[in-house]
Amino acid sequence: MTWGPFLLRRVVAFVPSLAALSVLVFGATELLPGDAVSAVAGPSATEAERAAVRERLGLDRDPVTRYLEWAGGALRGDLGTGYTGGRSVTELIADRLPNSLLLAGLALAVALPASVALGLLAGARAGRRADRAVSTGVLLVAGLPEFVLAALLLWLLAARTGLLPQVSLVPLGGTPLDAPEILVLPVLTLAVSGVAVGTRLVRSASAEVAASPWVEAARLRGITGPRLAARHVLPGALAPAAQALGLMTGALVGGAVVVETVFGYPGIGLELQQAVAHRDIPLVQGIALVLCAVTLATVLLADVAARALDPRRGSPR
Amino acid sequence: MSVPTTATALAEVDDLVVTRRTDGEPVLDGVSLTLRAGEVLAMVGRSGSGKTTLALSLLGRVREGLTPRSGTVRVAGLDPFTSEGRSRVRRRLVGFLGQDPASALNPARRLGSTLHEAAALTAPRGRGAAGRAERERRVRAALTEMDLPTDPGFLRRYPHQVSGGQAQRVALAVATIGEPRLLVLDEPTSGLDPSLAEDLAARLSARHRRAGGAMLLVSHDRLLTETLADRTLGIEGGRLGPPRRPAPSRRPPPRRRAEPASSGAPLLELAHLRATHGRHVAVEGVSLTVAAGGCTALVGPSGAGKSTVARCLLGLHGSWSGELRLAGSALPTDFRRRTGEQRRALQLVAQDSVGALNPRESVRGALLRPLAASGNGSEEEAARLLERVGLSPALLGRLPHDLSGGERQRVNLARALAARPRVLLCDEVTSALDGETRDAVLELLRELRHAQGLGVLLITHDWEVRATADQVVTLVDGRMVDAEREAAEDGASR
Amino acid sequence: MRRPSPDPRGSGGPGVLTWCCAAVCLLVLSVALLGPLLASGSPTEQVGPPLAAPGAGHPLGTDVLGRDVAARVLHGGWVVLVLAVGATTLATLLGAGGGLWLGLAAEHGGEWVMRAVDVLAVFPPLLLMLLLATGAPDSDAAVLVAVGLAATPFSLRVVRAATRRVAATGYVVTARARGDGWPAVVRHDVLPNVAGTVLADAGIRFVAAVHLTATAGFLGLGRGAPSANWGRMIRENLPGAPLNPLPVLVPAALLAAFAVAVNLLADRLAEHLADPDITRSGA
Repeated sequence: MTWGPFLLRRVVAFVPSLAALSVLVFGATELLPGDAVSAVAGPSATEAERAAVRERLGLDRDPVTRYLEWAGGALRGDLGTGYTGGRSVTELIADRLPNSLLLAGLALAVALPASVALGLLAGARAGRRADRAVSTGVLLVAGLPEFVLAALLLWLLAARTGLLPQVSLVPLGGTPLDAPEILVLPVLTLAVSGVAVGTRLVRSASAEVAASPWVEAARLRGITGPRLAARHVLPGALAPAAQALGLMTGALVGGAVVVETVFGYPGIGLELQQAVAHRDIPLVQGIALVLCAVTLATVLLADVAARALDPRRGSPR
Repeated sequence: MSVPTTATALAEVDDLVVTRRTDGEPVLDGVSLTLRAGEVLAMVGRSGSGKTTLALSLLGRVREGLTPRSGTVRVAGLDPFTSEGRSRVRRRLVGFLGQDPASALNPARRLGSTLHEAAALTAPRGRGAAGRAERERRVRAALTEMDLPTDPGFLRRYPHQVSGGQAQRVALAVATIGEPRLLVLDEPTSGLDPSLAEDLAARLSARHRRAGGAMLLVSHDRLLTETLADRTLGIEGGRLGPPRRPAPSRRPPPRRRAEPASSGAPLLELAHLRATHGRHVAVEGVSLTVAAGGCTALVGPSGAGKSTVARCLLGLHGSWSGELRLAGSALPTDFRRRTGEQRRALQLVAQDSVGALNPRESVRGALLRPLAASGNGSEEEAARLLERVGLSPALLGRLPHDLSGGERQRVNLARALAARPRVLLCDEVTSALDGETRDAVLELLRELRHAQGLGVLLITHDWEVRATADQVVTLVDGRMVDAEREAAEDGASR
Repeated sequence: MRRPSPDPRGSGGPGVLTWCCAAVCLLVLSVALLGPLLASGSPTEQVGPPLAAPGAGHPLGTDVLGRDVAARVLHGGWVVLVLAVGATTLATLLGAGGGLWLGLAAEHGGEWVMRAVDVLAVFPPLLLMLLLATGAPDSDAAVLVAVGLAATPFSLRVVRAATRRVAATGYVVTARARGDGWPAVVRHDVLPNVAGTVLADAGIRFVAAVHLTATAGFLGLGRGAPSANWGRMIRENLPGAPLNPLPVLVPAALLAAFAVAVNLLADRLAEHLADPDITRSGA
């Protein structure tokens, strides 16, 4: 298969996937017993007040109609209005998403090269001392939940020593880049947990390639050390590692939400966490939908990268 | 080359002991060997005899889990177990070609980059244009010698973009590009299609005639060892010895046509088989018969549809059509519509490498299940079956990984026999076995045919195995090829 | 050449590290599960000034609302662990059942189910938890179900792949052709060969479940505010860390130690269970 049909098929498959996830997002928040009405009208509201709120929010109509309206609006770029503050959900997301993407991009820029280097170091000599040191270290870090890691880093670098700000306060009307020091801790936390995940994936892919007959043949031709790792192991290991990394995207998105919450970083994850706490359902739905789209797009990118990195799939026979 | 050496000895192994790390068991137990310059030495032995370990020791390599304990190895006076010696030996002096030579090519690298790298490793270090020109000259020469195209387009291809034969020749070119003084070959033809194996043997001997150079050939391919080797050594239990009884020859064993083939209708008849995988027609127009006490071989290169035919016969293939008769009565195409007796009548003996035996089930369990289904699930019966395939009843409690390859294949046969079959479908039953064990298993099949009138359909890509058959059906790309001619030859040779 | 002694690092028994991890796991488990019985004070009652340093009666000091940190630590662990165990059980049951069914029986419909599973696997687990928590606020059951459902697609894929591998082996084909029914084949051939995979997978899912349930506490999901929860303690007391770091550090250390130890143990378990199949080789 050449690139054209491949990309077309992937992009076409993207649409039903996102549609399925949007049903899930809508269904989980709408059909379960947690009632938005009591969140908006307050616990002491009378039955009449509750009915008025229900009608104002349009909750008295049947869920299928409401889903179609919501999904139709989403297609036009209108995700409705949040309960608290009455702000447009789309505007809020447009405001916060760039901050989150900046955070994720910086973390990736640190984590990807480090993962490849460490994973290759360990995998190319699987079973040896370097491998055991890297693998155990990575297992230790990967064992830590992100918020624990974040809390420990916060305590060490901010609360105890005051080297860095505890909370990521962005100057009014500015972007996080106006105060780069606030980015350090969130990026560091995300990057460290990303390295733990990435190193494991690269390591296992490299170890598999390192045990292959062609790498053994290269060894028996007298090729050793960095040349063996970089020229013989790495080319075959990158594609499976990229694909596996795509599958881990979901977990990494979760990590980003947690990290933003810990540091009060003004991204989409913090907004989502607060919306859940306030049961601001349109906002939760909107952010969840955007996160699903971002995740699906990342998986797609990882697939494309895996294919580009694997000569066996990328080129015609 | 400039490496100083004594007049004749190129490689010397002296009293080498290599042991397993876990239990200290020796894999090589005091082996001494001298290989003269230009000599071709063949080494034969069963799997597990230590022949690969000995071959790799000349390159200073021991596999994971093994450790060299004592003794010395010298190649042109260098010790390959020291780091300078190893680099020198591997880059300049010794070339290596392992099982399935094409697998030595990195699928993620272009052929040209693999070849150029190999040339750079073996050529005298030249950084500038002169060095590059020398490397390119070597690559071109190596490709030309192997009858491969030398154009840049070919060099830009990946291994999967050239034919299997071309890939194999590129691998040979990579191994020999530096004109190594010793070529170590570890079962280079085992598991290859016959055409590939023949091509490889021809190229190796052509190269030897042209360039000389010593070879250490580990193989149980008699064609290869007979054409190439100056001398043959046997190895068993980690010790060298004279070769065990020189392999008889490639003549088919005398055919004992004892059974009266005139008993009328054959036991199993298949006509006009057509099987599909989705929209793809995998097999078409295949007809074959198996006589009672007879053996029909179904041969052909891998991917020709042999195993699909077996699955159709068993009724496991989802979509196929054709007529199938057992002892004259029709068999349904789907096994779910066959009676218990009909299912038991056809038994599969699967290839060992695809997990013919459940790794977590004891021999006893494996035998008692089919025995119970045919109404006699007693331990004595299981023991009797083991004896019939030439195994001790003491093996009943063993798990498959405690058995040797030959023992596993016999248990596999015993399990098929437990169902009291009339026809056995043997799918590559000997492909994972070394020569001697293979002959023993084939002999056992022959005995069973004669003693019980059992029909055998032998699926194989091994051209030697098919010699035991009295009918041969050749499949290529899912079609029968030259069946008449094969039959005619068969008749003429009688 | 080299020393002739057999290598002790071979595929021997569990190493020192493994035993240490097991000990750490047991320690944290006993704190979490026996804690509510051992604690003397109430975890929700205000007993002193906020963020007081350790002193008499309050060995770990007080938290941001003046509650006894020691009592809250002892009461706050079992929720995390019980939810994680419950979610793992749910995911393993669903994953193993679905994986076996998809791996053996389903041939045509199975493809569509797998597409759906693939889409679900993309869904970020934390997002699923946040959504269910929005739909069913203040409910521990929602956390359990969310964590379990988030892990199920992965479990299912692993078990299905293992089942298909076994179903394609010679022994299963032979048994089916011989006429053994699926129940017999599943009991004798499939289950014994898939059980290791299921167990190893459950270990990996448990690690993820501990992460998620602890994170749920941290994000304030699950049962409401006053009750103790290690994850939530970290969140509540993070701003007060410069005054009394113990309400953050003790639960963080317990969670970290447990998560890391369980992760290492799950890894060793998976390695151990995979081993016999890998090391079975001819010489």
